[in-house]
Amino acid sequence: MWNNWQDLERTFRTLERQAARSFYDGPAAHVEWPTSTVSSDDTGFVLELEVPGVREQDLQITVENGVLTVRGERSFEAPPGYRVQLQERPFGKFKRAFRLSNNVDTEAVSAALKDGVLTVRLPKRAEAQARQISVKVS
Amino acid sequence: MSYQLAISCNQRQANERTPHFDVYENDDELLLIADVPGASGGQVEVNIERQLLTLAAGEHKRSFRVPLEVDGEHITAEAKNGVVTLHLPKSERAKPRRISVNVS
Repeated sequence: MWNNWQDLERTFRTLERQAARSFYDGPAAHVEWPTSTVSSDDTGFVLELEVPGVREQDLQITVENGVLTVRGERSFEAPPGYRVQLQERPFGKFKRAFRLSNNVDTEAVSAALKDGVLTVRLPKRAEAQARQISVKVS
Repeated sequence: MSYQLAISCNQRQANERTPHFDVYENDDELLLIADVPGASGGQVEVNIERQLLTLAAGEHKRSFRVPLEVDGEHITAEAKNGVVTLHLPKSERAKPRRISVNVS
């Protein structure tokens, strides 16, 4: 009985996510999984995407027409020989897309994966970086 | 055997986050898997008091009422890629017993 409810709930969640995806298949929709945060400073932007348990080879990052897209998959692995008692962790294929600001140097984008967080660095082009101009007071 | 796991959240601190859990069970143990992105192995703390287990890993924290008696001395934890796996062995009393029936 319990397992049936679990299955039902899992199916519902998957449907919910698929529905959300079809409506919000675009930049930075908050309903999307994985969770993202974006920060910026004078030198550029940093995108952090929480992808615990996702391996490097299951991630694909592209920049095309000014849009950064991260695709990936977290596979569902119920350990063999165990009964499911609770299942909250989302799984399946995901895709997140982010429209980049015009001043991002798309050639210099870099990404690193550590402790389940994907960090994408998006430096601004040198000429777009804020420069400090000293003003001489005579 | 069927039961519902009671999961509760402590009063949360402002910057604490409640991680997602998966829980599996076999005859010998409960297996708890938690998403704790950004936390490294050195940041994982597990406490068990009576049957209230608390997992803390970086900014992630959650308490969990274990529905059966576990052997607190032999809990093992591993962290990899922002995922913590906890093995909670059942105490001898909580394990299912096989009772053999002699047919004469």
